[in-house]
Amino acid sequence: MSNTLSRRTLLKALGIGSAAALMPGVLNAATLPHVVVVGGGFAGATAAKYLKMWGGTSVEVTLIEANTTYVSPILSNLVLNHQKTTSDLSFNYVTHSTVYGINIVHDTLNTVDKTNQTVTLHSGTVLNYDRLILAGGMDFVDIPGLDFEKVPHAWKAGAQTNLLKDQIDAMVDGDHFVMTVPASPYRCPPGPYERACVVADYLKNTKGFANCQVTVLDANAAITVEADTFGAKFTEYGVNYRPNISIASVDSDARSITFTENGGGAQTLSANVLNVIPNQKAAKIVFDAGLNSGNWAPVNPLSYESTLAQNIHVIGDSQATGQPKSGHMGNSQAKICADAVLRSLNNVALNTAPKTNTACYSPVSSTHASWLTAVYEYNSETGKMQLVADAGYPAAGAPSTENYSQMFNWSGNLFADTFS
Amino acid sequence: MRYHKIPFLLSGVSAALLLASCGGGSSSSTSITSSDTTTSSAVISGTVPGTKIEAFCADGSYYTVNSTDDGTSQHPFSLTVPAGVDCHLVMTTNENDPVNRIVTPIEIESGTVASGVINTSVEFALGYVPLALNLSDIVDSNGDGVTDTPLRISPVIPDGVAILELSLDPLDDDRDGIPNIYEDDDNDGEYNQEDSDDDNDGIPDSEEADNSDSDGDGIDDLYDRDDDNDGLTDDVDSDDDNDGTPDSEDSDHDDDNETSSSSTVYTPVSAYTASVGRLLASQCAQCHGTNGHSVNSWDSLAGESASELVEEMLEIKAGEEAPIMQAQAHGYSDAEIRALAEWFATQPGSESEEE
Repeated sequence: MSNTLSRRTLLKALGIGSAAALMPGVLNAATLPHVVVVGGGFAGATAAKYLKMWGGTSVEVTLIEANTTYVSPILSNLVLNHQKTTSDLSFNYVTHSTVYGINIVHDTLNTVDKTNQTVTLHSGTVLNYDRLILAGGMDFVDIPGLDFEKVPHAWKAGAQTNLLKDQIDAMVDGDHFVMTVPASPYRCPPGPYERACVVADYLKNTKGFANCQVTVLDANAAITVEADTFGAKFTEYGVNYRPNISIASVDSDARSITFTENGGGAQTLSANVLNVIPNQKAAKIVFDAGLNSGNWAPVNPLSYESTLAQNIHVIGDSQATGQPKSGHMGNSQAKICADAVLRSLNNVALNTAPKTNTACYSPVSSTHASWLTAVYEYNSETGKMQLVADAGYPAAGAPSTENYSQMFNWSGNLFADTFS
Repeated sequence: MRYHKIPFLLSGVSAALLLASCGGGSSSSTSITSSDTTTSSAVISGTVPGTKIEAFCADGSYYTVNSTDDGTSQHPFSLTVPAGVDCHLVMTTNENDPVNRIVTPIEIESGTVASGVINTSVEFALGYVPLALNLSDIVDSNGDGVTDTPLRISPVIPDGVAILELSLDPLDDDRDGIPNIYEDDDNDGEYNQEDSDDDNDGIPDSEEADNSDSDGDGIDDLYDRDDDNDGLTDDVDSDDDNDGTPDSEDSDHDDDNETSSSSTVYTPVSAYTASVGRLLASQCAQCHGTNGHSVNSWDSLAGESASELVEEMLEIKAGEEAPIMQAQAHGYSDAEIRALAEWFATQPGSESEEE
C-alpha cells in the first residue's frame, strides 16, 4: 500500500497555494449537490460508485481515501496458508475515477464542521458537502502492552496480513499458535474461527507438524456463528477452544497474553505466534465527529443518516443497526444509503422497505469452505433492521470442496461490484 | 514509478507541475434536461479566428484540433470529446508564434451559472467565439500570454449539455476558470506547462521526486487516461510517457481496466429516478454482478426474461436445490421478486453471458 502525497498536495499542506487555498468562505447554494464519501473499503467504494451510477451528472461525488491500493480482508485468511497473496486481493479506484467520474482524493479526514457542512482534510483542503457519508470501518479498543508490529491483528488486510503469514511460516513443529476472538459485535463474525481452522489445517496438513498446538481465546461465551461447523473442525484439528476470556494485557516482545477465564484469576499464556484481534468500536472519524453513542454510530436504517447529525450518514462497520459487520453487508448498506441520499437530494420520500443481505463463504482448510447467509428487513414498529421473519436465518452450509470453489465466484462478483 | 514525463503540448518543454489551491465553494448547474444516451462521444463545434482548440477532460483525456481556414474571418472547428465527462475548453490564437500567442480559456454562461466545466452528450454548437488576436486586446497582468480571466460566452445550451460549477475540480484547483495547465503558479511569466520549474525551487519539474502528475493537468497519472496529454489515451498509446521507451517494456502496463470497464457499459444519466425494483435488484449484485452482469460463472441476470426469473426464484424458494440461493430466496416476498426481475429484464444482456 502506498499513500500518495503528490507534490501538489504537499504544497497545499504547506499553504503555498494561491489565496483561494485559504478561503474559508464556502457557499452551499448548490443545485448540483456534492456528496463526500470518506473511506474506500467495501462500504465507501460501493456508495461512491452507486451514487454516480444512479445519480449520474446530477450529483458530484468525491471519495476521500488514504491509500491508492485497498487490500481486501475478505479471503485474506487464505494468504496465511499460501492459497492467495495480498496482491491477489488488491484493488484500486481507477474505475471509480475514469469510468464513473468520481473525484478521488488520497487524503484523510481531519475535522467535520457540521454547522457549515464542510470537512477539512489532513492536507488542509476544505470541501463543502451537501451529504457526508462516513465509511471508516472500525477501530480497535486498546489493550495494554499490545504492539501490532510485533503481535499482529491482521484484521485490516495488507502489511498486517503478511506479517502474520511470515510469523506462521517461521513456526517449527511443536510451536504454539495463540489467537483471540473479540467480543461481539466485531468485523466478520465467522472470520476468527475461519482463521483458526485455516492455520490449524496449514500447520497440521500442509506443513506436516503433528505437535503444533492452536489455542483460541474467545471473549464470547461460545462460538458466535456456524458453531456446528467450526466446533467439528476444532475437534478434528485438535484446536484448544477456550470461551469467556477477558484479556488484561499483552507482552508484545515475549508474545504472551494475560487474561482471565470465566471470571477466574489472571493467567498468562506464552505463544510462538500470537495473533490478538482486539474488541472493536466505530472508526475514529465517527468519534471525532461526535456521532457515536457508546462504541457505535446510531443511524436511521432507511437512510443510514446519523440520528445525531443531519446530512451525515454512517455505513459499514461503524454503524449500529445490529446487522453483521462485513464487507458484503457494507456493500449492501451502501446501496440503501446511496439511494436514500439521492432520494432526499431530489425531494423524493425514502424507501420504507429496504432489504439488505449478507453472505459469507468461509474456508476451513485449503480445500473446503462453509457458508452463512441472511436477509434483513426493516421493522417499521421498532424502527430497526431484523432478520426476515420465518425464513430460518441465519442459514448455513457445511464445508465442502464445491463450496470452496463457489467461494471465488462469490468474492469475484463482490469485488467487481465494489471496485470495478 | 515513471518519472520524467514530458507534456507534449505546444513547446513540450518540461513536465508541468502546478501549485494547487483549494477551498470549498458552491456547486450549481444550469437546469439541464438531457435524456439518457448511448453515444460515447460528443462534439463541440463553432467558429473562431484561426485557432488551436483544446479540451482537457476530467478523466485525464486530452483533445485538440485546429480550426479550418475557409478564407473567412470565422474559421469552423469541430472537436470530439467523450460524452458525459466534464471538460474544459481552451483556445489559442497565433498558436505558432510564441511571442504573440494568446491563450484564452473559455467559460460558458447560462442563467445564473458561469463555468468552464462543460459536460455534453450531444453536439454543442458554440457559435462564433470572439477571440483576441492582439496582445494589446487582452488583460494579461503577468505577461504569460494567458488571459487573466476566461472569456465568457453565452451560446444556446441544448438538451444534453450541462454547464457545471463544481465543488472540487481537479483540472482547475482554484476554480477560477483557468485550467491548472495554464496557471502561472510561480508568477514568473511562464505558465506551468511551459515552465520547466513551476515552483522556482531550482529543481526541474521533471526531476521532482513526488511528481505523480506527468502532464500537470491536475489528474494524477493513476487516474489519467492520457498521462502525457498527447491526445492518445494510454490504452492505445504505445509510449505513455513520451520517453521513447515503449510501454511493452513496462511491467506495470496492463489492460485489466479496459476489459473490466467494458464488461459493464456505463452511460451517465442526467437525473436520478427512484426505482424500488432497481434497489432490490442491486442487492443481488454482490453475488451476480453490477446490474446483473456477473464476471464469472455465476448467473448473469441482466436481460433475462422477467417471467422466467420469477418462475426460477419461486421454484428455488420452494425447492431443495441451490441451498444458498434457496436461503436467499426466502428473504424476499413474491412481489419483491417480481419487482427485481422486471428491473433485470430491462437491462441490456450480453451474448457471452448466456446460460
